Amino acid sequence: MVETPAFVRPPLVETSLSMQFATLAKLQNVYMGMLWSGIRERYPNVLEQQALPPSFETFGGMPPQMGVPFLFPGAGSRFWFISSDDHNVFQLQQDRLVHNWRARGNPYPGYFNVREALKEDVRALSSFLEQEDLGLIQPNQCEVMYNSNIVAPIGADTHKSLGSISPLWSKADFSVGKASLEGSVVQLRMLLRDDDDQPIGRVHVSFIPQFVATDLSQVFALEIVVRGRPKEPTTSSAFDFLDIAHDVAFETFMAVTTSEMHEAWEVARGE
Amino acid sequence: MASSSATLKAPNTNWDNVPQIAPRSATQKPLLTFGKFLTAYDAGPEIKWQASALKKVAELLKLPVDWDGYGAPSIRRDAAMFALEVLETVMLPRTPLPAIVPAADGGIQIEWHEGDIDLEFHVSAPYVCDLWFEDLRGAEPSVSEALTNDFTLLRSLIALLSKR
Repeated sequence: MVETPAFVRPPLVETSLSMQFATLAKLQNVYMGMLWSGIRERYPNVLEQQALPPSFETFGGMPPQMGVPFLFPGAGSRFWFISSDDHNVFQLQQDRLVHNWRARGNPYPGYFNVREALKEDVRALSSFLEQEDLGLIQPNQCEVMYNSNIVAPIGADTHKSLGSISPLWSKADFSVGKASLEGSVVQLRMLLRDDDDQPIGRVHVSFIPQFVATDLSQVFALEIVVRGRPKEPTTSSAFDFLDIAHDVAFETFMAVTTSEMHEAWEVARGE
Repeated sequence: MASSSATLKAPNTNWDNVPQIAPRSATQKPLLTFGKFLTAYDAGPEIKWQASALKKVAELLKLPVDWDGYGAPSIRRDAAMFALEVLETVMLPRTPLPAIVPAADGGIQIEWHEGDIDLEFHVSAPYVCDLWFEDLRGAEPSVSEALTNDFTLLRSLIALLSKR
C-alpha cells in the first residue's frame, strides 16, 4: 500500500468500502434483526432500504450500458446499521456488505481506520453466519468509492471553473456565439490490470456540477469508484484488493485534480 | 430463431466494390452498395431478446429444491443476474434468441442450436462459467473453455452464430 499524504482541508464528504459476495439465500430479514441485536452498541440506529442490484466488471464485450437495473423477487431488504454520531454506516443485504464513512462536519479519519471498521463488520457478520449456519462470505467483487465536493478557487464561478479544478478539462471558458458555458460534466472509465496485465476491474471517475442543498452554493461532485474482482473468493483476498483499489483511487484523485486545488486543500506536514 | 430472410452475400466477395445502382430520379436517395446494405441489415432491426430472457429467468428462479428429481438446488439469483449482464455485453442485434435452461448445479445454461452451430454458455456462479462450441459444418474449430471475467471468445462465437 502506498503512503498517501493527508490534506488539512480535504474535499472528501463520503467514502465506502464494499464487498459483494455469493448470495446468502438463508440470510432472511428476520436474521438481520438478530444480527443487529449483537452489534447494537456500535450501531444503535437502523434503516431498511431496497436491496441494490449486483454489479459486475466483465471484459471482452461491449461496456454495459446500464446492467440489469432491477432485482428479481426474493432479494430481501438492505439494512443500514448507523452509528450514534451518524458518521459510520454498516450496510448489509444478502449479497453485499458496505462500510460508509460520512463527513458530517468531522475530519476524515483515514483509510486505515475505515478499513478497520469494515474488518469489525466482517468479523461480526462471519461470526453470526457461523453461529446460525447461514453460509460463508465468499466475495466476488469489491469496491472503493470516494465522493468529494469541490469548490473552485475563491472568486471563481465553480460550475464554469472545471479547468481550474481538473486537468481533464482544458477549456478555461468555452462559448459559441451567443451560447456561453454554464456547466460541464466529465466522465471517464479506465481499465485496471494486474501485474500480469490481465483485466481485473475498472476505475470510474465523474465530475458533475451540483448545488449544496442547504445554501444552493455550487460544487463539483467528484466521484471515484474502483471496482473489481479479488483473486480468491475469501475475505482476506477481498481486503488485499481493497488495499490496491484504495491506492488506485488516491492516485486517480491526485491525477484528476490540479496542483492549484492540492495547494488549496493544503497537504498536512509531518504525516 | 432463424433469420426470416437469407443473406445474399457470396463468401469472400468484397461487396463494397460492386458499382452503386444509379438513382431513379433526382429526388430519390441513391440506393446503397450491397456491402453497405449488408452492414445496415446486420445492424438492425434489433431482436428484443431481453424481454424473453427476463421472463424465462424469472420462471427458473421459482424452481424449488430438487426440481429435477435428483436433488438439484434452486437456481442461484446471482448466477442468473450475472448471465443476463454478460449477455447484455455480447448479444448483437441479429443474434437469435437463446434457450435458457436450469442447470443441476444451481446455475443457468444459455444455448443456441442454429445454423449448424451448437453454442452453450453455462454460468454456475458469477465469474464461474463454461463455454462449449461446435460447428457441425466443420468450418470452425470446436471450443471447450472455462471463463471468468473475459468474454472476448463468447462474443466472437456469437458474432459467428449471428451471421449464419
